[in-house]
Amino acid sequence: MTIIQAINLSKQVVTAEGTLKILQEVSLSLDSGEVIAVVGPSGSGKSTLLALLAGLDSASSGEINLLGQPMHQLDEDGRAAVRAGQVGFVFQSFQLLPGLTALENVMLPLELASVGDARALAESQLQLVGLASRQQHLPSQLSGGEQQRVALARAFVIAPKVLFADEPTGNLDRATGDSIVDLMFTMRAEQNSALVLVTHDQRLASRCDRVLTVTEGRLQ
Amino acid sequence: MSTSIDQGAGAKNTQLSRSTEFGLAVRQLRREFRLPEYLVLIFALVLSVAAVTSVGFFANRVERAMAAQAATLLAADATVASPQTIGDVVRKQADEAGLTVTDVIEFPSVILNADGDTALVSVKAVGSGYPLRGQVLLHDKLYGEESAATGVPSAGEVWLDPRLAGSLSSEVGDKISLGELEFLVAAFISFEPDRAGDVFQMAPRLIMSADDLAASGLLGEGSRARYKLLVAGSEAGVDGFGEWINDGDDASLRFETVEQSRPAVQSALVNVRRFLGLAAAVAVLLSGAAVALSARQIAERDMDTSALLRAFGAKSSSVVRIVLMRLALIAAMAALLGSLLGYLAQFVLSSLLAQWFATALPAPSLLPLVGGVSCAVLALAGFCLPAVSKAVSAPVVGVLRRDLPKARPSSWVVVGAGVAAMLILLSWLTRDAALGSLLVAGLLVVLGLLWLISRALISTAGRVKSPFWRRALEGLRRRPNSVSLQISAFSVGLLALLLLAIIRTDVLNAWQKQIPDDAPNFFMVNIQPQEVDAVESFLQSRNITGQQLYPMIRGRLEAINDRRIGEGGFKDERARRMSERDFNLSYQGKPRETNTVIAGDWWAADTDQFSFSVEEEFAEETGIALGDTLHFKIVDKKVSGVVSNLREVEWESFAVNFFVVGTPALLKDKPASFVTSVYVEDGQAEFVRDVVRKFPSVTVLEVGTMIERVTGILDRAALAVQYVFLFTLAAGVLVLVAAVLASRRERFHEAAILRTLGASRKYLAASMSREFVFIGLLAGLMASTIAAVLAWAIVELVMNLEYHFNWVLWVIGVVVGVVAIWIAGSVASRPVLRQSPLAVIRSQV
Ligand SMILES: Nc1ncnc2c1ncn2[C@@H]1O[C@H](COP(=O)(O)OP(=O)(O)O)[C@@H](O)[C@H]1O
Ligand SMILES: [Mg+2]
Repeated sequence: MTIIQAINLSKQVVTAEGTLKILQEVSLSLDSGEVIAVVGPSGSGKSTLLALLAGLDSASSGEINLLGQPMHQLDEDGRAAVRAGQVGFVFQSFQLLPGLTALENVMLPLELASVGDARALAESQLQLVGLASRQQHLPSQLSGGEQQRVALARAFVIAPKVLFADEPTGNLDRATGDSIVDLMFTMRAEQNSALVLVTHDQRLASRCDRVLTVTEGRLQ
Repeated sequence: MSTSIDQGAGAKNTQLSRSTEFGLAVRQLRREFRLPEYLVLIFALVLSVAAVTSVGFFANRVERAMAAQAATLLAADATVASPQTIGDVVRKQADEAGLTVTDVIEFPSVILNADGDTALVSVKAVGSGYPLRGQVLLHDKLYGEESAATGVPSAGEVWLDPRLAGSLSSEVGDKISLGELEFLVAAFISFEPDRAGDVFQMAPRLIMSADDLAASGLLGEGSRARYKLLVAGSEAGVDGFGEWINDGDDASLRFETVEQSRPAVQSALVNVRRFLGLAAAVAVLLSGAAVALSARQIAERDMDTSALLRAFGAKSSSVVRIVLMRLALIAAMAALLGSLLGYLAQFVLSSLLAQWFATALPAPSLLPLVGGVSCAVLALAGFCLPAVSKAVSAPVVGVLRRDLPKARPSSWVVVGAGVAAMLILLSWLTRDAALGSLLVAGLLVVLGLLWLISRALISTAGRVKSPFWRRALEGLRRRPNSVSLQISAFSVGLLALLLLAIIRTDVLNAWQKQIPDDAPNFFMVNIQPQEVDAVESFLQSRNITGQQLYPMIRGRLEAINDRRIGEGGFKDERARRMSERDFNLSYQGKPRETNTVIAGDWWAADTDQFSFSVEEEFAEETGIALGDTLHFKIVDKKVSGVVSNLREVEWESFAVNFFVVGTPALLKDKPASFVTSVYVEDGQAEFVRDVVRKFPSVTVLEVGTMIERVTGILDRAALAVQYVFLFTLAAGVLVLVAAVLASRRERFHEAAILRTLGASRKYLAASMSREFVFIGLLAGLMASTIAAVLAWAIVELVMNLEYHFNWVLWVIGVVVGVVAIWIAGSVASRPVLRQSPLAVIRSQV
């Protein structure tokens, strides 16, 4: 089953200095359960590609099908509805809601997808990432590694068909980063989620099925 | 493969349930409202709701008091009032219309008890059948049981105001003398239906029977009695009777129904209410600025939340609803807390103005809560929504790109929404859309001017070259707009408080002081012609010399030249009323020293011409010119004369003066009573007692108590308005706190850099302190100085009095500015100092 099918994706923005071509003619596809790494130097357009694939932003031209839906034809709410309950995210800067506890952060995607019994599911997911005792803590009371574990629990609690991870270890020290990556790969395997992993860590890239390299907005 | 597509399609219909959305809103709010920006937002809203509802609750109590008494406000369905006895023609007409009637005659007088103590009373002589509507409640002994009066006082008996109990008569059964008669105190008055009409309480009441009037000798020529005929009956009968009165040619008769009497009664309160409303509005406006400042920070957090929620599949409409629900929760919380505070605050307001009211005010209704809730909603909608709504549409990619610029609503939208909210609120607070718009414009101009002045001050201050102030001044220079806002917001509140303080002390004092020390302190009115010699020798025996007794004749101005009064042509309503009503004329041969003739010439003392001298302001207002012929009606005779001069009168001297004075030839043979004003240095109580004993029909009025009453009323009104301005000052402090919080991130950054460079926490604290002291100094100087200038303008230009700069208040203003801003600023910036440099740098990632 094809999770993502992207054809000739381009993204350009108009700035004060003229039109900036961030991505040019990118085509790729991702099968269910497949793991790809997107690597490339800083500023090459990795995050932009990830955003387009996940429908967080709209492309200037080209087509994207995510989970069988033509994202390029949908408006923002339509794209959000495709993601609800099916797509997970892990970010470099964790992106937990500061006002919600660890448990509430994990419950969030379940609630947004109107899944019943969100609390029980979230509790067991937190247990899986080893934070059962920190359920009621606010993000500000957790270390960076712990916050990223909560983010992993939040991403996997809906058993996503695909997970998008943008430099998930970028803000962590090496040892913590390694344990996070291990956890992520284990959980992904258990749920057979596809994974798009943006990283510039070659070691990490080598653990993936395929490695795509982006340079100056083009796929090599 | 196909299953996942189906699920994808299914997911499209995913609709967050309202309860989930609400749950999210509550959860987020529960933790976030401890954040400083939420606290500022909530405090600001609570403050504006409290300001609005305190005024609202108070006004509501007054309105309820009036509504409760409206039916009985006149003690009748309608009244006919006249400065003289109401004739039989009128009674006959009322009788034909099938109306019941009774008489009420009111006038001031002085009573005397067995021990020789005296007191000024407001006498009300009532005919049988009074009151036609409502009832009089009496105490059988002082503050004893209350019971409805049956009938009116019997002959030889009076009912007394309990306020007189302490000084004059402590028991039912005591004897008092009034005029030439002695009366028995039969009861104390607990409630009098048509008394509520007197918003400003006058002298204590005495009710007697109208049948005793003639024998008392109190109603001689020139007594200041007001005659009223109360009527009651069918609506058609009352209306027809009213038409007959209004169409009749006797302009001295005034027909008044309950509806007509109320606006007149309320007009004084309406004015105070407007000032209170204005004070509350300024508090709301400043709170609005604090709301807008904190909303900006809240919106920045909301952008992250909004982007994240939508990344996880929430629809934008859901996000909008979550934000609105949270705002609604905040509004509800603020409305509740604010209304509670407002309810408590109105007790102070009511007690400040309690002495204005004849009866205790009833408890307020819950209606002002509507105002409180709308105020919270309006303030949020006007000052918070523009920023927060931007957050809702923040780009979803924000979750990946933290460096994305934060979208902010255009300043025009923010200001526009704020102004619109203020317009609605002020129009509602003042119950007058035109006035509301004018006030909004005025407020914006005032704030704008203050803002410009503070900008100018800051740029001047920036040039100060002092190592001690250097860092502090850098802070000001770097954020000139924010600092100007802080200074102007704070100084508006302080300025208003100072100005009112100056008015309450200096202006009222100046007004009282300009009355000469030996100005007359007593008026003697209602002296009958046959008593003139006796009164003169009585005064001489007491060494009160040089006082002249002036004749006073009641007359009504009927026409100026060929123009009849009442046919238009009068410049304003006041002038029309003045000339329509009967007023007092006098005559004299020689000019008076304290009157200056400014046009025309004074007549020869023994002239046989028929001439008038008119006070110039009165002439101006009524449109009387030199050479005009005035036609008066005195009793039943027409008296006409030419205006031969205009004169300027020093009213401040408290001497007896007249608008219109005629030649003796014209007026000498007309029925007159005499008046005089005297200065009694000591033994004032005995003086009053002796006058009342020797000349029972003469009324002695003390000038001092009259002045005290007027200034007392003004002072209380100013105090009440000042009290509401305390909310404004608090709102000014909040603006400051909000602005400091808004600059927190920037300050964090500066502090971190300075600390990594080796600056100690103490050094940072000191330089930040200095910054706030400086801001406070600017705000205090500005408020104090502008208040002094305005006070000078009021005293010198408007009131034509001499202004004395009150440096104590000036210093107080500056000190309050420095201390309040220093404290508020230090508290708001504490977190900046507490952070370790590392944490600060990390938080910038
Ligand atoms: N909305 C935008 N406006 C302007 N420049 C952008 C925008 N989005 C991305 N860029 C620029 O495009 C380039 C690629 O960005 P990004 O995809 O974040 O790179 P990467 O994730 O590989 O570091 C960067 O130079 C970035 O500044
Ligand atoms: Mg990136």
